Amino acid sequence: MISERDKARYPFTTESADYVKKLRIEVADLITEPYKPILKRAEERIRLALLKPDDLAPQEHDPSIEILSFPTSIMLMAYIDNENVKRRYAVAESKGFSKKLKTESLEKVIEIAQGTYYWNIKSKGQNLRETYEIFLHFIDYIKNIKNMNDLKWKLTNRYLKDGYVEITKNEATRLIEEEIQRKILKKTKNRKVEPPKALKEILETIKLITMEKTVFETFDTPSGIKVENMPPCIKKLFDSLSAGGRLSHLGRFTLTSFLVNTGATEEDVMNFFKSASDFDENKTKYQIEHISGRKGGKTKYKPPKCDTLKTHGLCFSPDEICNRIVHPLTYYRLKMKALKKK
Amino acid sequence: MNSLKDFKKITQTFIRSKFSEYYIKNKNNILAPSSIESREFGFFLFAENIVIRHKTFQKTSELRNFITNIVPSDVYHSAAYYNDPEAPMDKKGWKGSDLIFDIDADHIETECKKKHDTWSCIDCKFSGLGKPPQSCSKCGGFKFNQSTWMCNHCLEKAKEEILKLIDLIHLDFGINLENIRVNFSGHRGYHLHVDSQQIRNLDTEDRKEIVDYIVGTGLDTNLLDIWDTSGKIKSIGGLSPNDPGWRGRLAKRIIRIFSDSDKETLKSIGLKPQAIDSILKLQMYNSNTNQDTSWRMIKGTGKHTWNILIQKAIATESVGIDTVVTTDIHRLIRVAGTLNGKTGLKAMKIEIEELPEFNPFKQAIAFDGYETIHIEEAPRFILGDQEYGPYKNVNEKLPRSAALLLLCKKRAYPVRN
Repeated sequence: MISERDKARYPFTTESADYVKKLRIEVADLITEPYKPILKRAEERIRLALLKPDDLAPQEHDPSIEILSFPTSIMLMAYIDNENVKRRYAVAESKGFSKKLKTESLEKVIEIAQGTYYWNIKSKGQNLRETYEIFLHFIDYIKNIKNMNDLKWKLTNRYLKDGYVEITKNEATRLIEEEIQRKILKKTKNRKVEPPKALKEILETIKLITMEKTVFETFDTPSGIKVENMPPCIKKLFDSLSAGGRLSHLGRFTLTSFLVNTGATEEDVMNFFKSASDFDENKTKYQIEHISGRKGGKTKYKPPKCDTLKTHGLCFSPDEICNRIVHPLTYYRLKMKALKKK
Repeated sequence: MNSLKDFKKITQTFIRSKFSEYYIKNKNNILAPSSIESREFGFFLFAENIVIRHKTFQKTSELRNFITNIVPSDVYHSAAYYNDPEAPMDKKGWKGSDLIFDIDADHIETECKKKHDTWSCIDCKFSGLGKPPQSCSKCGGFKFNQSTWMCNHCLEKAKEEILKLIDLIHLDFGINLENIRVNFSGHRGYHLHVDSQQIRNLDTEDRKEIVDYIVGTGLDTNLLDIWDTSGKIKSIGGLSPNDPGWRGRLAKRIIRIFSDSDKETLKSIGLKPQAIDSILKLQMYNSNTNQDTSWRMIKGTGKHTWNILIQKAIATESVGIDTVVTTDIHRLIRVAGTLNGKTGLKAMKIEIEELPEFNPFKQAIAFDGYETIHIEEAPRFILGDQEYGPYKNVNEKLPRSAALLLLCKKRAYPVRN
């Protein structure tokens, strides 16, 4: 059963959405006195999500305000014209929910996944491998591991039988987090219309929040790297990251190794990666140091060959030069050479 | 004197007339995909470089009549379902796609390719056997003409792969056998279609994850919890053939390597003499005691040996699919019951239970009767119950199916009787 408290804690659930629908509140109502706390809490959600994501936690003392503040923040974010900011918001909200969800019972986690996202998920019951408590159908599983960089998430490394993947409760909440994030991003897609007058003031406030330095990292192209000389595959990874997107593990590796092999310093690469929405300073530093050969095996890694990139779906719109080469670094060198001749 | 172009034209016209006769007689064997009205159809015509795309049909009979009238060299349908299959690509409105797999002998390493496949450099005409190199060893060029042949051995290998694939799709991914359809391509391989509501909406990235599982990409043996470093006896942890997923597959394969391999095979895998000794002793012990459990604890073998065995097991269990085909959600794939323009053989549906015994060189034959042709060059091959060739610059009267194979393969041209 989803209780009143659950609805406030998890306002993304179907049950909460139904509750909100029944109230039939109009946008104009939000600036009237009785509803003001909702708008205030919505603003707070956004402020915390963008500036202090770790402090974003459900407030359970007034469930109805808490429940209503969530769709209100989403509506507000839809008027913000900045993908990077939206992604940060979605990441923070979904992380907050999953943190709380981890403390819930197995039954509750399963109930939410089934009830809100229609996952094909079930408790495993008695089994030999007790660490895994849940069976999740592979389709729901693969839909939610796209942003996971750790190899432990790869289907290849999982127990898979009769269409079901074995996962732990914590893994289930992590996957629900991805699902929530995706849904928030979908709902905050740009509204091409002018915001209602009632929201003008609060939207101005939110815009100011997004201007704060920590939210909008300026991104620097590593010095000396000629973006126009990059092969299409690297360019695509580069653009995606520059726009605040996420890369797969191999995508990250490919881009980093390409950059360090074409003369970028570790610091350059580090600064560049800061613009990624799931930037984790320690992890990124570790990766860069290993790829550049300063730590670990002391070998400087090269990006994968074209063949490997093709296998992994990382070869995008190959051009004329691509037909002549077997390695992305050759592409860059050929173009640099041509440039010097000019 | 006829020019080369004339020969080409004569051959094309000839093949087309035979295809036409075939379709008039056999059009009811053409199998339309499910939801035919949502599919795009594509056709290659005999006249060079003519492709008809974005065609739709409301009923199977329309498709059959169209093929019989147009007589194309090859017929394809989209794996995808569209709102408007006739619209240009970006306006079709993608509604979903079957999950398809292509197993082609081109992607499988076989020794015989060095005998029957050839390549020649487009720039300097330098040529060789087997697969083309990355760059021409004479002029450094990158572009090659390839001439491939279909042989029994290559196709048997492809069949082994498709059987492995069915196993994975059914047992691991839990797809019902009634949702799995297998077709022989009419040339060098097999296609597997999964036609089920639940997989239709998978996007390219989702399909890539499935591909990685089937190929074994990203398999990290550390994560499979294989290593057990306790004590002096190294063993592969609790790896059991009953485990789901890759763990179980690796365990089963390693057991097979232990029980089936002789000394030479073990040596060829790269095992050290001490490990080989230990394995052979265990084989003896197992056969004497009728036991099969102690394979986990082979003395004198360290992590190095286990690693070799695991790598070997991964390589053997991995299925040789064309990864690009599966991840392409707009792919066109051959229609079953039509002829393959590269061979004159039938692309055909095979019942899964009949697959192990399926012989494409007998069952995919489309023609009867005889034809006289001039054969420029062809290797030895088997078709039906007969063995042919090798040929070089001879006129031969052959069963029509063999003649068409050589004509379609551009190794021969028709001779007027």
